[in-house]
Amino acid sequence: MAKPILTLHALEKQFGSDTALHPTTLTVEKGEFLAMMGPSGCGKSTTLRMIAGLEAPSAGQIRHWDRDITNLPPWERDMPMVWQSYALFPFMTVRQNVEFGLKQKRRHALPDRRRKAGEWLERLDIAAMADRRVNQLSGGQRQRVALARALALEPEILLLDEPLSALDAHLRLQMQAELKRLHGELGITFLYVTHSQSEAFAMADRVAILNQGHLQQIGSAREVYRAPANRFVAEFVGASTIITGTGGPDHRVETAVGTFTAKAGHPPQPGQLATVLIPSNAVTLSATETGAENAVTATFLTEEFTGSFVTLYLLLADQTQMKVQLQQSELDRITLIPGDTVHAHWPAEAAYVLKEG
Amino acid sequence: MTAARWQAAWTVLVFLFILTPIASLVVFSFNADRFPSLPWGGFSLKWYVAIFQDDSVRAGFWRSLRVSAIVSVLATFIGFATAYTDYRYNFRGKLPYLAIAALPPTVPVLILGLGMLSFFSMVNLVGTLSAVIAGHVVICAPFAMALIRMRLADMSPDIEPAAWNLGASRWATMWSITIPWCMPAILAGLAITAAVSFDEFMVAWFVSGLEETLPVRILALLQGQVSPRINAIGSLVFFISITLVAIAQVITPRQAR
Amino acid sequence: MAPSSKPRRRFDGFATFWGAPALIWQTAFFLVPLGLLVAMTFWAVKSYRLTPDFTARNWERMFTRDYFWTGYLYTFELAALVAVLASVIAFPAAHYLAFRASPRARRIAIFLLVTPFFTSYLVRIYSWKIILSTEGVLNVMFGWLGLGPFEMLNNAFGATIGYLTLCLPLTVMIQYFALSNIDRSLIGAAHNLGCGPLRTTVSVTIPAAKIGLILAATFAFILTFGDYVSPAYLGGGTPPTLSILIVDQTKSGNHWPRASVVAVTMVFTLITVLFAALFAAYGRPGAKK
Repeated sequence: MAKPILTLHALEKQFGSDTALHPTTLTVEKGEFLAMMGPSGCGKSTTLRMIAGLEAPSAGQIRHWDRDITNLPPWERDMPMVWQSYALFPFMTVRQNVEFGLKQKRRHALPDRRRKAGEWLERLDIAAMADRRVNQLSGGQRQRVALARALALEPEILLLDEPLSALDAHLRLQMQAELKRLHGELGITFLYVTHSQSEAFAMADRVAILNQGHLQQIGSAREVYRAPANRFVAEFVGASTIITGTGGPDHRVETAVGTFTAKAGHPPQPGQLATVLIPSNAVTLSATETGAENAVTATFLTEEFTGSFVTLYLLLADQTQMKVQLQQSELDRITLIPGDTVHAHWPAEAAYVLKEG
Repeated sequence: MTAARWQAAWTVLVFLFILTPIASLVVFSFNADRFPSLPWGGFSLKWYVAIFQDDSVRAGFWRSLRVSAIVSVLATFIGFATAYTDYRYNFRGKLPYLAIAALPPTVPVLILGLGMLSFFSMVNLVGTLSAVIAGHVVICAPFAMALIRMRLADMSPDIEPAAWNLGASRWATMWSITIPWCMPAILAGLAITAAVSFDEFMVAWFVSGLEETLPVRILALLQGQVSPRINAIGSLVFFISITLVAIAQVITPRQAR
Repeated sequence: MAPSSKPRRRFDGFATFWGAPALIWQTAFFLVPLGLLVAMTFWAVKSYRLTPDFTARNWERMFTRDYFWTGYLYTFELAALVAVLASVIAFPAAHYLAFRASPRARRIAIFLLVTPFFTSYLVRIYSWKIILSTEGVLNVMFGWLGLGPFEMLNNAFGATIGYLTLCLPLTVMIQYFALSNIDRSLIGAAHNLGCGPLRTTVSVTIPAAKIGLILAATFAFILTFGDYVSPAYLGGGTPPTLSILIVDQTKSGNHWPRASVVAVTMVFTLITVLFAALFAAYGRPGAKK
């Protein structure tokens, strides 16, 4: 197996009596796009800052290839960051900002610097405003300057701390596509922190999900989606309806809204708690009872349009909310008004049982 | 509305009170009469001529200029260092540290003067301009510190870390990012501390001995008979101080209220 | 917000370079001189020479002298009076600036307030000395009206004029900032409930700006309490304030320990007043300034 470009070994951070990150170990492969995500306070930004050298770990080690960089000051790490607030130098022009990193430690002579910075200005389509002051730029333009500034150093690893959260939705989607494209072209390792699950899933090769300082799961987007490690990850990913019940023989689970067969995931232990995930795109709706095996009766609540999909929210008998994802075309065949009774069923092979404990 | 009118008139009166001594002095410095009063004695520049020819006044003036120039540089440096330390670092004992740095304006100048007189006589520095400079820096540094601290508060907290992250050491960041950002406040600090030092008489009086600064010379004249020269000296002093303060006010970037 | 990203094991030259100057300078030229004053209160003057000692004689002597207590009370009362007077005089003007003046008028006003604050207090007092004298402009003008001449110097009136010159700019400024920071919706609500302008001011505006108003009065007190120039040159020097006592003991009497006793007493009084004011303003001991 190839050596990882970055290794976090039992990395830990405490602020007084508050633990921001419990001992965490993970590796980053060269050239991959790894997204660290989770709700506010989960420790993702703290981890990124420790990697950048802006926070000192309370314990543990950070290695860059073979080199222990745990106590190295930030200016010796060569891992430029794209900031959420952009952090552009306010009294400098765009060009001066982009050249800043190149100027440090006399890495590059002036003509060389000019040329390099110029290339990146072109590449990120901001060459036209090279001599403007940064406070004259729009949010999207500043974002590009921040990117150019970091990429001009041609680093092995690029750190990104929620860089898109200040942009409006349309621009955000555009930039997501652009970042993914850049990643593909440059072959640099991207370490990306976000609280948005959709953003991470759209761009990343692998995702690491954190909650309250604990790493919940790390894996490809597909793995996390299909086989969440625990309830938190399942809820965070939000792609399924979660129903709890008691395990029975033969992959059966008894719940308050019926007894179902769940064949995916871990076999339910008879008599023990079992949590079943029903992927929202595995559910079929019908107006009448079909007599299918895994079926419930529900009340239609509301619908949400996202591009070509529609997400329907149904209310089950025990007040659990069920999420159903349909193509637009499928929805056209059923007309529903809030309050209508509807029948939903899904195949046993799609129902995933979480590992308990 | 009459109520608002009265209030406006009152406000004007208050400002007149504050500005009258300044205005009157300047006006009378051009009065040919020995005693500055009405009726007006005619326009004359003779008092300005007289002070320019007065050796003790000239000497005091140059000493004051030298002292305030040195004081402004030292006080602004210390003010900057303290403001930056407050901005960047948290440490045990930070509160007493800041208290010590910010306390001098709350101690009456008279008492500071007395204390410094005692201290400097122990080390045989009474009667030197160095003693005056040392004392003035204590009084002036808090002003520079306040101005610069306010300016630092406006700098996004990500800016310095961003510079470090791009490869700039702390010294390089200080030089190319932090100081340029603070420059308006630094310049304003230089101007204000120069003004405060130039006008300061109490500590100087206690400590300067025979090396009188200009305000000390004025104090000496004050104890004697009314002299029209003081009008001319005073106007000159006003002019310099007001110019320095005006510069500081213009440079200081202010948030729109 | 402030990171501590460096491993603390090594000596941090950068932090020390920036943290040390204030500490060194202030300790050497502020704390040590003040400490010396306190120490000197216990020293003795033997055959005109200052000798380190540990005696309570200076304290005894000062505290048993009538002129000390008269001076103390006079200084305290005068400072309190000026603090109140300055606050009352400043308030309508600060209120006008905060609520009724145009932005341009406000900018000009602030400029006119800040400037005298930094220009020679001494020279301004001298100017008053001329204006207030029996042959000065004011008395001449009174004379045209058939009044006076009034003795405006060498008494409490003169001293008060001087004190007001000293603290009025600062008092107006602090009050103005306090008033302009009040939540305007409070005032809107008061008007909505039928309060006229005067009632609003008394029952809403003033309590809301309480902290700033108390601070303004406190600074006026502190400045006046310690001032020497006004009572000496406009007040005639009698009765002597504590500041005049200090100067007398130092310049003519050359009895530094006694001067120190007066000085230390003054500092102690001022610290007490400051804490009392902060307590009154913020309502809790040890509250953040």
